Amino acid sequence: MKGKINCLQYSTIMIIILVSSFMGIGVYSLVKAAGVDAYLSILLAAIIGIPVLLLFLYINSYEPDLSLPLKLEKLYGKKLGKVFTFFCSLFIFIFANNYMFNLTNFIVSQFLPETPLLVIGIVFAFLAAYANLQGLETLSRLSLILLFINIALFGIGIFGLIPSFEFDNLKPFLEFGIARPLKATFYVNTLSIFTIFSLLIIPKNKMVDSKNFNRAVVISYLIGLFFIFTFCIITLGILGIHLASIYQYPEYIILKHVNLFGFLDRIENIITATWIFGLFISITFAIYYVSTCIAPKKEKKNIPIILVTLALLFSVHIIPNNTSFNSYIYYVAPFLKMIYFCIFIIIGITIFIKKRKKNNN
Amino acid sequence: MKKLKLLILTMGIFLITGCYNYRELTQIALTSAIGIDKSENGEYVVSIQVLNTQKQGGDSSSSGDMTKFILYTSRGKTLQHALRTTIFNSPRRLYLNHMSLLLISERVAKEGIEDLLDYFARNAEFRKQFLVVVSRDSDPSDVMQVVTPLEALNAQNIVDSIIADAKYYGMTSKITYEDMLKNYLNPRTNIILPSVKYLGNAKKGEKEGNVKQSEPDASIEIQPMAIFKDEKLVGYLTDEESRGLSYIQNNINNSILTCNCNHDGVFTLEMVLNKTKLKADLKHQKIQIHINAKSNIKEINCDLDLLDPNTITEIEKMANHHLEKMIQDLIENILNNYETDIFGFEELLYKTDPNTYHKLQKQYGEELLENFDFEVTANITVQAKGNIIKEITR
Repeated sequence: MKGKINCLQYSTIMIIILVSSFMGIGVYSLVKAAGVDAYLSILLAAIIGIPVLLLFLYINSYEPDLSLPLKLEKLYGKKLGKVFTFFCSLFIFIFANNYMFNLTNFIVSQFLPETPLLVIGIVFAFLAAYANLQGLETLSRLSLILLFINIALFGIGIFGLIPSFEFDNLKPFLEFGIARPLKATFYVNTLSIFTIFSLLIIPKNKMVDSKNFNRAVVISYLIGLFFIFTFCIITLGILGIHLASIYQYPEYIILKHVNLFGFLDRIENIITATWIFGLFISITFAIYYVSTCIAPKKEKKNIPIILVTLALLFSVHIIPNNTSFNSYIYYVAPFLKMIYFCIFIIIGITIFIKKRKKNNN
Repeated sequence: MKKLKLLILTMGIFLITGCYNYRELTQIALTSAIGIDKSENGEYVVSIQVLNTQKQGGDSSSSGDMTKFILYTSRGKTLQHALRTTIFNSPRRLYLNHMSLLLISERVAKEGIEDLLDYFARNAEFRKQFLVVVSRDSDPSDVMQVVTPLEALNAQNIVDSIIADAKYYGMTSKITYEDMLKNYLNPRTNIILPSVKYLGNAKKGEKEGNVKQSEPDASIEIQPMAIFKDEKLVGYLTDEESRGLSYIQNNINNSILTCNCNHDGVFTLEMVLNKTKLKADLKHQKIQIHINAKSNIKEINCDLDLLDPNTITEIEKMANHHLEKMIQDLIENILNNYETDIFGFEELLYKTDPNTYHKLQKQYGEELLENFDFEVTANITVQAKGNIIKEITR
C-alpha cells in the first residue's frame, strides 16, 4: 500500500492543523474579542462550525477519488478550475507564511533572542521540504508520531497546571451577555476551523480504509476543538483576564507554572515542543497542498523546495515585526480566511447544482 | 546529485547543533536577586547579587573562605541600561532566569513602580515567579550584602523567611512578580508586598565574619506588608493588621492569636485550619467576612479554670471577639486613612454581580466601599489545650 494512508493518519493531520493554526495567535484574538468569556466562544464555535464540517464532507464526497485541483477541473472545466485552484493555493501559501512567521517569531522571542529569524526558519524549512519530497505517506506517519508525543506532553502540561488553576479567574460569567463570545466565534472559525478545507487535497483513494472516513473527520474535529478549549480555559484560569491579555504567548507563559509532584518544574520548553511540532506539520502540509495544486498529476521534484524557500523568505521579509503580525492576525487574516471559506461555499453550491441537474436528467 | 544532497545534509548538521549564540556556564553570571533604587538625579541604581561559582572548598586556606555571592552595583537611566552595564564590573553577562528575589527601595516604591512592572513583564529572560519585597527604611544594596548564617545566599534567606512566616505566622504572604502584576493590571485591586528591614552595622554585616558570631553584627528582618495605591507605596501595616489581611484573603495556614482575658492577663492560641469565606450582598450594600478556625491553647497567663467546659467556651468567645475587632479595625483604618482597597473587596463585588457593581461604582465613585457595611464573624473552636489539663498553680 505504498503512498496510501489510513484514517487514523488522516485524523492526526486534521487535529494538528486545527490546533496549531490556533495556538499562539488564537488566544490573543479571542481574549481581545470576548474577554473572560473567551473559552465559551470555542464551545459556541464548535456548534457553529458543524455546517462548515458538513460542507467539507459534502465537497469531499463529490468525486472522492480526485484531489481538489482535479475536482475543480471536473467541476468548472480546465480554465476556470485552474483559476479556483490558483486562489485556493494562494491562500494556503499565505497561511503557510503565517505559520512560518509564528513559529520563528515564537522561538526568537522566547528562547533565542539573538538568533536571526532566518536561521531558525531554515532548519524547519529544510525539514518541511524533505518531508514533502518523501510524499504524503511519510508526512502522515510523521504527524501520527508527533501527535502521540503531543498528547503525552499535553497530558503532562495539563496535569502539572491543575494546582495553579483558579475558577475565580473565569468570573464574571457572561457579563456582557452572549454577544461578545458569539462575535469571537468568528476568530475560532476563521483561524482554526476553516483550515480543514486544506485536507481536500487528499483524495479518498489515497486512503486504505475510507469506510470510516466521515466518523474519523467528526471525531478529529471534536478532539481538535477540545484541545483548543482546554488551552484557552487553562490559560484564563491561571493567568486571569488581565495577564492573559498582555502577553504575546499566554499559552507559553502558563507552562512556566507546571509543577509535577512538587519537584519537576521548569519544563515549559519541553512541553512547548507540542506547539512547535504542530506548526511544523502545518507548514509541511501547506507546502504539500500548494505543490499538489501546482502539479496534481506529476511528481513534485523541486517544487516543495522552491515553495518552502519562498515561504521562508516572505515570512521573514514581508512581515516586519510581531506588532504588524498581531495586527494582521486580528484585522486581516480572519477576513482572508473568510474569503477562502467563501470559495468553498461557491464550490459546494456548484456541486449541489450539478448533482441536482444530473438527477433531473 | 546524490553528492549534492549529501553535502546539503552535512551542512545541515552545523545548522541544527543548537550552538547558535549559546552561552556556556563559565560565561554567565547566575543572578539570584536584584535590588532597585534611584539616585538623587533620578537614575536607577541596581544591585545585583550573583552566585560566586568559583570552586568552593578544597584548599581551606583560600577558596573555602570565599563569599558565596558577589554584589555588583550599577547605574543607568533605564533598568536595562543599568543591568547591562554591570558588565563594566563583571566579566560575565547576567543570566536572569534563576532570579528568586526582587527588592524595591522605598524611594522607588513611593515614586511609582509602573516602569519596573513593564520592564520585567516585557523581558522574556525573567521567569515571573520570583518574590518581590520592599526594602523598608534601608537601601536594597545594604540588605543584599548582609551575609546570613543559615543560608549561604541572602536572597534565599529572605525568600525562605517570607515563606516560613507565611506558613507559620501569617504576617506576610508569598507575593510573586506575577501576583503583583495581576493586582496592578486589575483596576479593582491594589498591590501589597512584604517588606524587609536591615538591622545592624552595614560595614561589618557584609563580611563573612558576620556569620561566625552567635549574634551577627547585621541581620535582615521580615516586616509587615507594604500597601500601595495604584502604583505608589502609601504605607505599611502593623504586625496585627498584616495578619488580619492574611485572614481576610484566606492566606493564612497556621498562626498564633494573642488575646486579652476578660479580667487580667493574656492567652495565646495556635490557630490551625483557618478558612475565610467572603460574601457580598450588593443589594443591601454589605460584605460578610466569616472566619472558621480550629485552635489549640498554647499559653495561658490569666486566671481561668481550664477544667470547666464553660471556660473553653469563654476562651472561644474572647478569641472570636478579638479576631473580629482586629479585622474591623483593619478595614476601617485602611479605607479611612489610605483609601485603597488592598483586600480585593471591589473585585468580589464585581465578580458577584457586575451590573450592580457598575451602577454602584457610577453612583459612589472612589467612595464605593465606604458605603458598605462589613460584617465580620469568627468561629474559633478550641480543640486541644496541650499536655496538661489544668493551669500550673500552687
